Amino acid sequence: MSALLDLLLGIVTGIGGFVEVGSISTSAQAGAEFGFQLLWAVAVAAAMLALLTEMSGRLAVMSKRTIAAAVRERFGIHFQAVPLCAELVLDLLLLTAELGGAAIAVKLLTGIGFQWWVLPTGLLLWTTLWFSRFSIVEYGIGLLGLVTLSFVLAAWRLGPDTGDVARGFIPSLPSHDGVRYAFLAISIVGATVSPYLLNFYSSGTIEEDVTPDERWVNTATAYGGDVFGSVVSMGVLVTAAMVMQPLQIKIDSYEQAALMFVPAFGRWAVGLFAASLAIGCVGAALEISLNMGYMLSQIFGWSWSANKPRVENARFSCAFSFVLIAASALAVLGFDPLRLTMISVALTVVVMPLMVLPFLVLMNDTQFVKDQRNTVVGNAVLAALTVLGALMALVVIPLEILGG
Amino acid sequence: MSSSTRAILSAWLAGVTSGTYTATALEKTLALIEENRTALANNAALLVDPRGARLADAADHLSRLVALLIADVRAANAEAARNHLAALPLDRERR
Repeated sequence: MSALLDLLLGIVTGIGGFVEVGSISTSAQAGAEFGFQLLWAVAVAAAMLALLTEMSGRLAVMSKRTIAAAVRERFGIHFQAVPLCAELVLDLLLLTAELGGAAIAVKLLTGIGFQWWVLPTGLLLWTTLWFSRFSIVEYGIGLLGLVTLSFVLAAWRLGPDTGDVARGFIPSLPSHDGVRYAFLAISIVGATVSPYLLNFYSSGTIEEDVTPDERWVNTATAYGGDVFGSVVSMGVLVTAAMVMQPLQIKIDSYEQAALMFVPAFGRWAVGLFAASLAIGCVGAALEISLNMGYMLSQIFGWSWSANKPRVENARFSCAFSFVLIAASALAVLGFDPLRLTMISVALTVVVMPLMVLPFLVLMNDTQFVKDQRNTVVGNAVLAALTVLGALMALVVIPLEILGG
Repeated sequence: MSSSTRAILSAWLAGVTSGTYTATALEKTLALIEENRTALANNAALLVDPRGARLADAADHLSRLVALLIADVRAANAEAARNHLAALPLDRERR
């Protein structure tokens, strides 16, 4: 019964990690500029994330190590320095964008400049992390994240043609602006397959002390949660396609993006959009901060757990506090959160091979995964992801310049 | 930008969105137009080209109109906002 409850909560709260500033921005821009044509990219990205999440959970269950700890043990600190620095920089950029996104949500309702809301938001996040156990962060924010289902409800109320939507799942060439189309397709992948999600998921598996007998819960949660989350991303894309594309509005800011709810929700539109954006961003910011604390602690061998009193994890607590302060300071400078998001999701693609390649080795090392090694299919997918990631990394910078 | 301005204003005139949101969204639109204007103004070759020059003029005009619309929304003057909305560049092209 407890396992079933965990499964249900895990699937429902899959939204918490999935729907955040990156997926909202990229899906909304894709829908506004290319209609339903990039739905396939959301589906592909969701499938990639589901596979990687399941593997990170399996690694944690079988080895009782997180990805960061296992890479450190298997390859040594000299190898890990590069992916560690890359992920820390990426996570910091993304955390800054999430803080900015949450602050803009408050600005939409109050009209007061978003920089004024960054520090209160940062303080709220820090207080939540300091006084909450892991389950509160994961399930509490995930359940609040159900408000983002309003994107799905909006899409449903707008009544898109099912044939047109179905055709969006078949990759096709755009009739205009091919460079921008490619950039957005890659950005959708970058926004969805965020490296922080993988280490956060494996850390959560250890926090919850999942045993090998309960591994099916991990598998079902990974696939079910990601499918559930991807439906919301698709809802964003479909709503933007139905509302913004006919008006020929390109989404250059969250202020414009709020308009996509107007035909579906009328007077509730801005409030619902602001709530969805704020909760999505706050949820992701909590996970990113916690993950940065986890990563630093796991790599440097410090004690870590969100379930222990903070005094027993002083360095872990300092680590997540410090990254929150650093990201808040960056966000207060006033970087445009939407642009910062697009830059960080493009950079995610650049560093993806660095993350996936060691993972491929670990998932075949019996010292870590015992008899639960990857199947040929799993290895093929990981190898394809590495190659695809490397190819995308080669083209994403020129695309960022030409189409971003 | 013109379409965006029209959509933001139309929602306010229909009573669907608040003045606070409308002014905030228009201010952001104005900031984006200003960025485009600066980019145009910094490109001498583009300004020499007749199409580039027309674009710069249109951006100038739009920028002024959006500023007027922000003032209308702050003053809750729907009538003036309707008049300024009718003068948006895309409206004239459509006519």
